[in-house]
Amino acid sequence: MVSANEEQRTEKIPVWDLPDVPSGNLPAHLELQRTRTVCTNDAPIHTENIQYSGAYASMGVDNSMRFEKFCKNFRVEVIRLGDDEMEFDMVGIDASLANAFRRILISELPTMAIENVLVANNTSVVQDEVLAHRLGLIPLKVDPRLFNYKSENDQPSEKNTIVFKLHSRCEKKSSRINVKSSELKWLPGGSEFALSTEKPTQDSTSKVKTYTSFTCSQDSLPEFSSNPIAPTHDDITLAVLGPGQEIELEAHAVKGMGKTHAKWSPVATAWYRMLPEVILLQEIEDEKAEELIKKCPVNVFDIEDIGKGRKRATVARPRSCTLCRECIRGDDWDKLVALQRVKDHFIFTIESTGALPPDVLFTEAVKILEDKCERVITEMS
Amino acid sequence: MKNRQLHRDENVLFAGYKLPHPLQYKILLRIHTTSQSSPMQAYNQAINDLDKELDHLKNEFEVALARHTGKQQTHEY
Repeated sequence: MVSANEEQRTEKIPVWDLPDVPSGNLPAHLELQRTRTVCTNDAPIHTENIQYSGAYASMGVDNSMRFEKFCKNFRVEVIRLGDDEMEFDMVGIDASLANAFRRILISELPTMAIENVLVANNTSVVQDEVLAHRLGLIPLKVDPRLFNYKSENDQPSEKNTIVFKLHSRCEKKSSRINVKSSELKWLPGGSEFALSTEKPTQDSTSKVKTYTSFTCSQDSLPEFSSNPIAPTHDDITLAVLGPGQEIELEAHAVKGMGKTHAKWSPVATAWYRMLPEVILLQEIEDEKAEELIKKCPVNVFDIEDIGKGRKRATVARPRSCTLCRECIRGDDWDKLVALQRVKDHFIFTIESTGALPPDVLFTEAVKILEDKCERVITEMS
Repeated sequence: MKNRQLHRDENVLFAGYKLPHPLQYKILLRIHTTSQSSPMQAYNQAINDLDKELDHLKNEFEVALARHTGKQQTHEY
């Protein structure tokens, strides 16, 4: 940056060219403050995110966010993917985005769950409302995207309701029976309980009006003809019947969101944590090394031999660190080991209840967030 | 999140939000910009950027998922 003019005058070197000022990069301690949360013995420090674009303007470092910079820094890695559970890493996003996804996964993804229960006969020891509550919490193995929401004025139709039947009785002289969720039978044709009308119609050729008005049977739809709708788990105990007791009811399931009631939440839970980083500030040898690996309950440290019978401690599995801070407890240990968290590397774990696989759940959550953004844009213009 | 986006914009001098009461869903958003752009423009820009970022995020996720299932299948053989 020393131009020809300046060379002719005295040796005026601009500040940026001084040898110890790195241009475009922050010095190490500021970079630490910006990207890592240090977990000391008492409490974590540097937890806030430096958002302001001009924060490091005096050092010549641009903290502003460009779309291209996001695309360059962002990375996703799937660690584990099962039917019900998945663990994946997202690097390069902000804590607010991660939290937004977590919140949407828990409360704003729609699912189907039993809402109305029509009880014809219940002589068991479980009260009607308790039984209805238990039925509502059963997860159903059905894709909620195939259904519409049902508002209060809507007629229950095959597009917004799923009907189940439960009829169980325990004969006298037999022992107690457990009513399991496998006894919930799907009725693709709609409700079978007849609505009582004021004027009884005489002709038997007209269809009896029931509690739902299905125009066609649900198993004629291609999605359901090969896989019938059922609860995800067959072995959930609903009630216990003694001899002579009977339960006969019909349950209607509708679409809803976790915001209204937790039974409509599609995840058992969803959480994230930031990637832990364990740094050895000094060389730890021999007895101190042995002591260190004994301290850690999740075996983050390992011993390695450096010849001549001497040993050294290394950090082998920082990812499994739970930040219990055992390794920095005691005198002087916090000068040897530093515990940090990387602020923009999130380890997400999603456990689904079975209605939708977890990767689909996450994609849907991103779509919902996009929808919200678009809604705000259209509202503004 | 919109705040974070607004902070990243160089033209924004001040951006903040307030919820007058936690039980009522109302947010007051205050944006000051330089004379180079108007607050509406900065806000629209921020939301559009957020939208694009989310799109990119979704695509990356699907790519990573495909990579992972591909790796799993080769392990099985």
